[in-house]
Amino acid sequence: MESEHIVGRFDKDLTKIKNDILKMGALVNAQIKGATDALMELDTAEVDRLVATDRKINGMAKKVHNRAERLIALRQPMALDLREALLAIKIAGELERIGDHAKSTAKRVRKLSDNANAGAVLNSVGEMSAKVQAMLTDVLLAYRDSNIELAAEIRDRDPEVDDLNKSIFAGAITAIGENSADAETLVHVIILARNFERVGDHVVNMSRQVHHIVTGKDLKASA
Amino acid sequence: MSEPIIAARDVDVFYAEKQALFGVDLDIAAKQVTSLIGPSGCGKSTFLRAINRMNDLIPICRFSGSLKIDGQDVYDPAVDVVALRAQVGMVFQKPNPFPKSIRENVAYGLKIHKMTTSKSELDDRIETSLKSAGLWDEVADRLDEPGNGLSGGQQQRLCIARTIAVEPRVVLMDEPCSALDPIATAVIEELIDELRQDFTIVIVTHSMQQAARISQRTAFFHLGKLVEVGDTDAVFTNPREERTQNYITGRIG
Amino acid sequence: MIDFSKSAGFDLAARHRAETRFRWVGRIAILISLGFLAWLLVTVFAGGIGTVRQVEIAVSVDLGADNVDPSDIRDASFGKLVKSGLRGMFPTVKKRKDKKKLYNLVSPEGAFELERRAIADPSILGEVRPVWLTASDDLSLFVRGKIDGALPEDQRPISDKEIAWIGQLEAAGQIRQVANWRFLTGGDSREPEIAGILAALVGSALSLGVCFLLSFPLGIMAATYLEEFAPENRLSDVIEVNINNLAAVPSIVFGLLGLSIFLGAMGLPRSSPLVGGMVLSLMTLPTIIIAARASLKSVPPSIKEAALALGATPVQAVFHHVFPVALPGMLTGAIVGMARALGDTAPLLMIGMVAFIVDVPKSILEPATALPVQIFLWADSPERAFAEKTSAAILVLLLFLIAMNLVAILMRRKLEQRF
Repeated sequence: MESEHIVGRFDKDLTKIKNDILKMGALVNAQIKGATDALMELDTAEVDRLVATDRKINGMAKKVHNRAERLIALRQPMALDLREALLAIKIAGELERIGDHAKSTAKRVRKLSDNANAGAVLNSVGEMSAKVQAMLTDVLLAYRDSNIELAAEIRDRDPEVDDLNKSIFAGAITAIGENSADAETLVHVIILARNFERVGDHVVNMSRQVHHIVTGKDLKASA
Repeated sequence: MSEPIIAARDVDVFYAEKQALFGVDLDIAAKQVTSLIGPSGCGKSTFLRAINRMNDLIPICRFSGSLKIDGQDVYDPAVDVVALRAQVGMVFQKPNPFPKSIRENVAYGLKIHKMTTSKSELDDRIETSLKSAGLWDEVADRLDEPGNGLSGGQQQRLCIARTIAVEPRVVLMDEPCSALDPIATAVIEELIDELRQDFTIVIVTHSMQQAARISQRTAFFHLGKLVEVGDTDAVFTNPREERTQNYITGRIG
Repeated sequence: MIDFSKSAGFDLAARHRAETRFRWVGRIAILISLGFLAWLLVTVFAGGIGTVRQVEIAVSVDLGADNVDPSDIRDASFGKLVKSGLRGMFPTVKKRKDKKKLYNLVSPEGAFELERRAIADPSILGEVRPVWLTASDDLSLFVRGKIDGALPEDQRPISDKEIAWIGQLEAAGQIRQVANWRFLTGGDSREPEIAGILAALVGSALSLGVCFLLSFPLGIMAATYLEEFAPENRLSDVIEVNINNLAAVPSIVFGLLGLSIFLGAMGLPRSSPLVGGMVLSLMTLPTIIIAARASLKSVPPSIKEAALALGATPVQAVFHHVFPVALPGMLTGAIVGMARALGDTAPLLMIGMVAFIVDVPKSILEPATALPVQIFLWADSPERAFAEKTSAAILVLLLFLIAMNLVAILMRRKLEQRF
């Protein structure tokens, strides 16, 4: 791949930023999974833990920001190196927002725990969650390996997530029409679906950022 | 890009048997700063000195190819090299003011080319040049003191004033700031930025940051070949060639 | 804790010892050199300083009208007048041999002195009056204490009788010592007591003047061309080697050259400062060229480069910028050459500047002699008194040299002030 910098510490600093992002990404992915599991089992005990972990994620974003700032000040990076430093900050920002979505998903579990009628639609939400988790795992791999083909492919998977969101919405509306007693639960479900749709968009942003780091050019938001 | 004022085509330069430049094709635009960057020994200084034929002073140096300024081949036998150097000025790496007074330094070019007709005209042009070089305020009251008595940065500005006094079309600068401290360097960079409104400037620099700061076009030389040339912001944010990227990011290979 | 003391190792003791040794070697070398120099100066000074004073005798001479005719002063025989005056002062001297010794008290020049004084100031005529005349060389040496009266009579140049007469004259206040200006204002003479250095001084000055005017401009122009303009090829190398060799050629060879070409083929006046100067300039030229080239080489090339980049022609770049900076160094080189020319006797001997020159030369075409030649001639003379004059002449030569150096230093400083 890229040859090494003459100043070895420069490579080490860039690697540290990359590792921070990967760690943060893994943690965010775990948050999504944890929140989804809590949702499926309506396990309120987990919620507190998930909310507390989110603070740690915010701290990691700040750490990435500081490392990138230091690298820019001290090493005057050019071209590729500059893009790696600047866009790492953006990627950390996207991850932080994904983390926020996971947290709000978890908090919504507390509200849903009373009602058990959401069944079928919750499964679809679970399907959405699985898809975006896979996308996030892959985009972190694409970031780690500077793999722009994978990044483009991830962008192409997002329409599936959007379609799921639309069908959940339609199904929920229908279900509310049939039985308005479940309306509150189903509105939560609609919001949850929208959370995951947003997560998908953030992952697409990350894949575009990966593409920009490697090529210096933009990747279109949709093919 | 507007009509290039300097056009090099297939330029080869040899020092005896050793070839220093290989087939350089480069256009340099008027009233812009073009920087030549590259590692030591890459040929950028050789190319610069070929423009005003200062390489002629080295007996073992041979030139082949075409180097035209404003459409005229400067290596044509009909060209008077004195006329060439009167219109293509050069500022050197180590400030080299003449061991004479400040006034005499700036006036020298004007005197030998007989460019002024009266003493008052000469004094006016000396003042204008020193002002353009940003040195007038510091030396107006001591024009008859020796040029070597100034600080390094001031001496270099004196050399610049001396060069622009004869109003050349092109000013060549060979690492003009490498012997100066950061503040003197910043003063001269600001000066170059102002000068480019009136002169075409070609600058060789070791500092990529300097090239990035002051030039509009950048040419990267490596082992005697021109690897890449383009707008400065493009070269430094997203160069086309891997060798260019390796050089500007400080990578091996 | 780091040890910075003498015992820290690093072979300190041996190295510092070597330092001290070298310093002492240097000091001793300087002391020995200075010692020799001091010895030379003291010896010469002591030997020659006596010349500063001259001894005069007051002789009562009858300048009455029957001896000297005021309308035709030259016609009088002043020699006889001096002799009769002396006889009058020592009436007891009767024997012929003794009378000869008596007359010897006054320098042979005495008669001419009297004549010159009478012509210059006729008012002294018409009566018997004491006249101060220059004493003879032996008398002069004795009065000034250079002859040991205690030696047996046959070992000294002055007899007991003369010593007795001198004693009488001194008691009567008829011997005095005056400043010897004639040494500096007069030419050479057979009589040591009136011999002067001026002719040789002027001869040297004129010769050196001719030498400088010929060799300096030629030398620095040649050096400038060779250093700055000549193409670097075999011919230039050959020229450089030859110039270096010429600088080492013994000076007498140049004298031979001068003899055959300047005197023989060109027929220039023999023994003139013109020819002397020309021969000396042949000798000095290589030295000046070498020194001038070194001075030019030492000018930083960046100045010339800046001038050329500004559009100066090569000649302009060299003469406006390189040349002025190199000039002080060239001057120093010229002075070194001049100093050698001042003291070099051999070539001048070959072209005939070894004659006995009494008159001070007024132009570069008149016969002349030079300081080193004069020293040589006086050193060669048998009279004892010339020994003193030789030392004095050496002193004059050294002073001339110092004066030349001072002039050069002043000129150099003035040039260097122009940055």
